[in-house]
Amino acid sequence: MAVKYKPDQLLQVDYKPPKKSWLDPKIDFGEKKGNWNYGAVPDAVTHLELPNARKWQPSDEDWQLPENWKEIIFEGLRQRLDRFRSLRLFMDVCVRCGACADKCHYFLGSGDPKNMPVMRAELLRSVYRRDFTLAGKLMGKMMGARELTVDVLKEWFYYFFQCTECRRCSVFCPYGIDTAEITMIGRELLALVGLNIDWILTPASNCFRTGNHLGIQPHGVVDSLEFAADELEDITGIKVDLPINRKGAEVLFIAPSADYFASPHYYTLLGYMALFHEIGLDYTWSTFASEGGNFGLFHSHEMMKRLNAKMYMEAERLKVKWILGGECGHMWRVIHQYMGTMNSPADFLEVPKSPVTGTVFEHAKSTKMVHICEFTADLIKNDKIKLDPSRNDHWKVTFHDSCNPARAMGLIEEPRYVINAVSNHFHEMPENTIKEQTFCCGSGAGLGTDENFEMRMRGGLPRANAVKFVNERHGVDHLLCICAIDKATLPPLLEFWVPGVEVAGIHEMVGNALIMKGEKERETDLRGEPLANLPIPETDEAAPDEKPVEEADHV
Amino acid sequence: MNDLAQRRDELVALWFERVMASYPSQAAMLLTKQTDPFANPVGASFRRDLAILFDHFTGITDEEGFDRALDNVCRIRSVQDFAPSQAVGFVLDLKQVLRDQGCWIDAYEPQVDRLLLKAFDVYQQCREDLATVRVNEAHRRTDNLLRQLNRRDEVGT
Repeated sequence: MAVKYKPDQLLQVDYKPPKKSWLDPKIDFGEKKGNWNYGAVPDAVTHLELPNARKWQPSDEDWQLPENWKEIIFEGLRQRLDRFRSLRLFMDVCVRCGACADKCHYFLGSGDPKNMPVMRAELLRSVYRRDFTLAGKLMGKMMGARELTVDVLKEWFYYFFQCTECRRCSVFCPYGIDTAEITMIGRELLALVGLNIDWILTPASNCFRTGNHLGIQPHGVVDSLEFAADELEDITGIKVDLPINRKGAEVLFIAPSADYFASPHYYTLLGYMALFHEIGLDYTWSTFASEGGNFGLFHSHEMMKRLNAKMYMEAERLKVKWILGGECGHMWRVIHQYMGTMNSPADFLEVPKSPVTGTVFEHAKSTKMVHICEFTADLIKNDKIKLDPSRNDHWKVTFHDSCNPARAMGLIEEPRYVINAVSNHFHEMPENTIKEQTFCCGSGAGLGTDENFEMRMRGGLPRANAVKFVNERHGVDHLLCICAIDKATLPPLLEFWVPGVEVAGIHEMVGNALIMKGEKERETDLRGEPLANLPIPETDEAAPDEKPVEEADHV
Repeated sequence: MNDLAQRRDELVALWFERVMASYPSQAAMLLTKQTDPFANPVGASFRRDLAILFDHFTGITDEEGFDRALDNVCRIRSVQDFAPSQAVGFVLDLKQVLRDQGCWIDAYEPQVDRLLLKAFDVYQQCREDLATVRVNEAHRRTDNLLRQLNRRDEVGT
């Protein structure tokens, strides 16, 4: 919502200039620990055949840039302006209306003006203006143009890695400028001179080498899945099938690799396994396409394409009909917004059709890939699975729309449909913090690092603030989400801002509620926490009177 | 104190304005004017919580509300780009407001001092929380792996 000024407020002009011109780029990395990420290790750079591999850190005075670094950047920018019509448009059409200014979670949490999306974009635009536009060449600073210097480059590094590419700002831009794409180009340019962060490049390198970001080798993937199957048997009494690298299966299932063992992702993995067993899905896991995520998206278009391709190559190798994707975030942005012009047509696959309900997923005609929430919602809609939502009565939940499924693929209703079928206690956060307007976790796009911890806490404040509201108003104690990065980074965020609220995946709740044929009486949920003797939460009717939003307590 | 109570809204607004001036001016404008608590959690929190702290100063006692308000303000400032002295300096802004408005009497001095020291305690607690949360995050990354290893040891494979 834009700030609405009254006439008398518009007349109040603040003549006091800011302490420092926005054109001044100097960043003291030594002073700003906790706000930036470590540089990429040489091994990852070399392995991916990228330029300027060396040991370096942003806090070093000398970043060991190539001698002709400026030339490389200008040539890179020129190529991209020619290649991406959208970039030239985004550089030229912004009128500085300010609609995006207070929409970024990092700006709202930090109060740093350069975290306003318009200002972050201006960091690149100012250089573009000086060297690629006539007005900028002639009039310089008067046109907001500035010279590309080492300090400007360092400032780009600082702020382009303070954008999670969540695209909330783009929802509010009247011109449709996608500031995330400006960040993406900014990061690509930085990468050309060897300015990469390790949390992006090492996972990308791992993925290139082993098929997943975590670098788990095939036998490790198998071990983890077998361990999960054993645990699921302990809980349900049912030994589920574990098809791995099985040629000729109907469906290839791809989940983010954190699901294999990270917590709380792992419990969602148990949920997938229980569901697939129950419906008798003819599917397979792959130890090569063992990663849904694509950290290439956070590096460059080329890297994104390289990592995306393996999923399709593996689908072709295994001769499956279509691909089902798990609870992953940015994987879906790559699939829905970029894959079509990168690795398609995947015409060796078929248009996805649910073998259980017969539903044809027409919208996935091009990518041949369906989101697990769409798939499960269809099962529930067609009454193909039995669910007992009371098994989840020990949780009061809310749902965090993960940025990419919500804004990049429009997956808004399906997750809610599933949650309402498996939970009796679902409470939405305020409207301007969910669905298309959802706030980022503050740690996406490769920024979920330990060294960047304070920035993450700031960036996640608007999300945590809304969680705190439903926690205090409805007693919500679990935040559901469908993104592996969310599942990794929301727990510490909430531990700091809203202690007592935990994080879970939707398919963990599905697994809890799922009544499986031949199962033993469930004594625990998928986390191994006893179902019996747990306090039963009050019903909504017995909840205290709801307070209007303005009066409610929040952070 | 009665004088302060009568001028409460005006003085709280001035205090809020001074605190917001600790942010860069381009940002302070937006963080000050947007009143929706979800669109602007920092500004909305300060607007509400400074009023609660002010009430406590004037003798209205709601210990729980006071603690929560002080925690809210200090928690936010503990992760922002402030030195510790700047982070808790918002308490001294109240002193300046009261002086500027001719409301200051020396009897307030120990109260402001106590509030400042308490704010520092809370700020420090927030920084310790931050350290704890970081450690817990590191544990969380390996907990399940260790569980898998332990289970393998149990079954002897």
